[in-house]
Amino acid sequence: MPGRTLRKAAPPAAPAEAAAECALELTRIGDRWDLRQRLLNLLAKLFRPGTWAARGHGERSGRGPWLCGFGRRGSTDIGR
Amino acid sequence: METAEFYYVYYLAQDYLQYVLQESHLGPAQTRVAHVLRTIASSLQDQTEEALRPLLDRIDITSVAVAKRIFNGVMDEKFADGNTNWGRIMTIFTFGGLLTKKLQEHGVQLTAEEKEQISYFITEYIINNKAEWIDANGGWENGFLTKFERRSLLSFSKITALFIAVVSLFREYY
Repeated sequence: MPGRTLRKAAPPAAPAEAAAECALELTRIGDRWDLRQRLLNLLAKLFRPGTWAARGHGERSGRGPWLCGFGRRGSTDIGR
Repeated sequence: METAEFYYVYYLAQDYLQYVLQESHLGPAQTRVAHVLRTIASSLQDQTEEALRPLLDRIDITSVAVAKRIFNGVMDEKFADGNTNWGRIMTIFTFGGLLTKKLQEHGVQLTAEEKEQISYFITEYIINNKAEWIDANGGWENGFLTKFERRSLLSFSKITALFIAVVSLFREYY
């Protein structure tokens, strides 16, 4: 068409470039999976039966057992 | 001569590739590590394939030798930042699985010998580059299993739902 430049199709990326992109994607997938697993293990640890009961904090605080003494004076390390 | 550690990883790679290729004669996994690797890595396999297929379509993977070259190049690039974690270790297997599938799709007849060669170069990479990290992080039995085996007991969604329920209860009363 007159006055219109013909646009060439983008050339396929070189294999080296594709390999670098593969590496980047694999890094992302691996890191995401690792983080997900860390989070999952942390939650599993928190909700494992007996995690808090064994410590007996709930009874001492006189509030919900899941508070584990949180909010009680002296429950933190800031010296209150 | 290969070490016992080498054969341990070689078995894992071989078992995983057979599992990915859905070989009919494949029985149950012989070890707990192999079983967990099958379960976890195969769920990562779909994710890996989805993300990497368009990229790998640009590369002609015509032989095991080519696959090995690509594998080593990608692995070196992947760990170039010096960070290693179990998630990245898993992707070594999933990428090996993906290359094997690509070879098959490319019409390469994968004989037992060729599959052994693929398992061998995956193992070689792990032993030469990641064995120290794996040892320092509890090994396959105490590191990998501890991290990934728990998942089968409680799924991520179940734990998340439980977490949300507890937070809502907490907000209601306090």
